[in-house]
Amino acid sequence: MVSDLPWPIEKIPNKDFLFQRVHKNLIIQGSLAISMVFRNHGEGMSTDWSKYSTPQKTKNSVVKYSVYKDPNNYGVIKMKVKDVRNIEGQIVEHTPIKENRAHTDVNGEKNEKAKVLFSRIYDWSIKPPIPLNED
Amino acid sequence: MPEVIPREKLTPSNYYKKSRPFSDYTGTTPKKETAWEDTGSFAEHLHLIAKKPKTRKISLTDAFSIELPTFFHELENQIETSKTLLELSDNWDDEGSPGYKEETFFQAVEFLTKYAVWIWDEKSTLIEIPKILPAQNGSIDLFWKKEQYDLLINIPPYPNSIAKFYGDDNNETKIEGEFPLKSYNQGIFLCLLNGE
Repeated sequence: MVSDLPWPIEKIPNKDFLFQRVHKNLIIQGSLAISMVFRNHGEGMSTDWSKYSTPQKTKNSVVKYSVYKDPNNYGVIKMKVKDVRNIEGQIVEHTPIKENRAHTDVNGEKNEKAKVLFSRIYDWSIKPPIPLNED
Repeated sequence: MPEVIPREKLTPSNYYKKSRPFSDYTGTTPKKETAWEDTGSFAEHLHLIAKKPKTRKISLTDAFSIELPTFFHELENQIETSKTLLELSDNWDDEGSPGYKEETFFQAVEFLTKYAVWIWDEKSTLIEIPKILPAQNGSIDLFWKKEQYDLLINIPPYPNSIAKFYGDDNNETKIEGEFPLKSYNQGIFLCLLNGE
């Protein structure tokens, strides 16, 4: 039986990274609005696997989801897959879509504990522009 | 008519004149009789003055305001800065997230200020100041990301009133759960917030 998926699903090694876009408005007084960043959209939290993406590609790919979204309004954070899997209840799964071979979901409830633990494991790859109301 | 001296204007010399209005107990002869409200003991009165700090009214919105002791400068500044949350309109994140109700913001600030005042009263300690951040579905986060601990309290969107929290000291102390904003055990967060 031929799979409908354009790309095969692969196992993601712990040593690799995940990239995630962050809108500039989610930086408040220099702090990340962690509940807005580390949350599920549907089943999981969307990210890109470093094997098939780069921070710049992840930033630019926002237009694939909506022509109204401007890549210049976004930054990109990265997280080590191993650190994500160490957060209780989080499952990293490669879920490629036609437009994005790198697409990966981080499934699992994003409760207050998970958000605090996520806040400890990310680094900026590309910082977003500073919002107009921030100095 | 004897002059009535209100409680807040009592001094050691005019206090003692209450019990001995015509005496030279303090070494001086009173020029006139004085009378005042029953103030209880002088020690109790001093304690009341010392315990109750001066407060300043802070306007959050046209409808809501809070009172804070005047020396809570840092907390007051943080509250003032966080008012920009109310300027976030629907879809402010390009993902369809709603804006924030004044009542929710007031819930968050009221909880924070009451807790800060309680810790001051109980422990003579000023709590570290959290970030006041937008959260999902119209809720608001109070987030302490400090050297010795992290604590996240999510204040639900009004009229919901059950807050959720998680905190730890990056070691063995962890707290997690939920509580009603209107009445809760104020000791819950002491293990992280009391500065000890």
